[in-house]
Amino acid sequence: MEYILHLAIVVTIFSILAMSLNYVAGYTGILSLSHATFYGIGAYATAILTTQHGFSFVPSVMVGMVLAAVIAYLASFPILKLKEDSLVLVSFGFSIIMFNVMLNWTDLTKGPLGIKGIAAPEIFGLSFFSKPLFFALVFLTAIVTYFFFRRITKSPYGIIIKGIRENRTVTAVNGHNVLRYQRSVFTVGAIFAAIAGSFTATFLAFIEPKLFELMPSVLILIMVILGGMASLKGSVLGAFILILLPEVLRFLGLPPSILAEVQQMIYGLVLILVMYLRPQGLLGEYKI
Amino acid sequence: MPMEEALLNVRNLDVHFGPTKVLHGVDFEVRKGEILILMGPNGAGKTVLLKTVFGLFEKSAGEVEFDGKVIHPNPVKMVGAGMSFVGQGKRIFPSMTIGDNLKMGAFLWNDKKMIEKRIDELVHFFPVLKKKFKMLAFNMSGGEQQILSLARALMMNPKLLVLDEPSIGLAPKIVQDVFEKIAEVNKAFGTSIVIVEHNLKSLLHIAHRGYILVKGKIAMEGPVEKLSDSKTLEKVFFGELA
Repeated sequence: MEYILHLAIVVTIFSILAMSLNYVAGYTGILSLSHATFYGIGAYATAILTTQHGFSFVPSVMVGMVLAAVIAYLASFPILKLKEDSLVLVSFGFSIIMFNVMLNWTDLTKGPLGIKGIAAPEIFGLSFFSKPLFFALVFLTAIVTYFFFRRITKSPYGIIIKGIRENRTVTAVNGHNVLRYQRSVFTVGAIFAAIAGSFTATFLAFIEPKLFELMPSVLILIMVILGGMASLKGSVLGAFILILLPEVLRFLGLPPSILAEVQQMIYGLVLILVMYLRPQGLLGEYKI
Repeated sequence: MPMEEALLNVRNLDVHFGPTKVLHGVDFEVRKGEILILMGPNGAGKTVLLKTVFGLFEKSAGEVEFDGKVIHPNPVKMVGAGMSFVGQGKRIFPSMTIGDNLKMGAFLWNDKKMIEKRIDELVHFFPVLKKKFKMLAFNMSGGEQQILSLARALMMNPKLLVLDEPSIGLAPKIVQDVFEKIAEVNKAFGTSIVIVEHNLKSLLHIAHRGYILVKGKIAMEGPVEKLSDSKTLEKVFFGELA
């Protein structure tokens, strides 16, 4: 039961990440490779503030959200100035810079040693140390995330951001300030990634920069592509499949020394197969 | 019927692309209620002129006055002021329904009922859109997609509609239908319309005035009958007016 709850929590946290990236990449067409950076900002905000400055969980999450929003908004200027392939490369460059900040600003982040002893969330005196309670909290957050993005994407605002994805020029010609919309989407996506980061920090009780490098960004993007661009349910499905797939490998008796490599090869294979067989993903409405 | 009063007045407009000057002191006027053709050989600067007036390109000198006010153009401001622009090609949102395509043209209004009412008016005006309202736009034929672009540009009930080569890629019969619809729009809504077009024959019976642009300068202007004179056109397209 502990093991299943552990997996359920990881799937749920990645669902929040995938839904927020889908909002950015699937609905608006901003193919960003920097989502794990904002995930890391939330995680580090909670880890540093709760272990070193006596903050409780909720204020630390809020600080993480604000910090991610400010950094995402500032980063959106160089990133969103470009389009398509160039945008992907600039977002990749941004994630390399931020990874190195996490790795080398050792006074703040403790660098490669990571931050240990992050306490479980406590809200109004109730501790979420036990896995069922922690799962309930993350699950509730994922439900709120789902309905938040569902409401936005079905609103007039949602139709405009889909318009940007389909044709930026025509959207601009219809009197919409494309860059302003893109910036707000990028920033909101980052805020939800930071929330997922805060949960990860308290769930693992330990974080290190490696958790937020390029590979997690790629993994979240593959979840979005597999589940389907512009499909929130697809993002949850993508997270479910890609988190559970490696667990299946564990049961197949693969030696632990090669498990991580095989896992990454499978992610790559899934991406290739999806692009060839079903480019709109399992539940998606839009081909990348 | 067109009036003498100007809706759009462009004075002494210069545009540079890097070191190259592509528009040279262009003076251009669109009157209220008229259909105006902008002609000229390829590379004359017709699209550049209209895109600059709409704010898609930056002007290097000159003045744009719209509806009595001098404006530094940008698309958000120009749409708000009452100008719509339909660029070359099929300017639709292919993975969106026809209804959502139309809504994209009206979101500067916050009033949902007003948007619905306008959509209702336009689908009655363009019955083909009513029939396929819930269909994804990429399933429409070329002519229907052009009608959809036209309808979307009319969502905000613009005072001025600019169409950049609306006949590109369409069969002659469909072109005729599209132009007839454009004339109906002018009559029904009193919208001033500027059309960049090579296909002059189809437009002669609906247009009122025209300009001929050659190498970034206005070479001629006047009633469309005068400009469509075969000798004038020969001069334009064989470079004698340059």
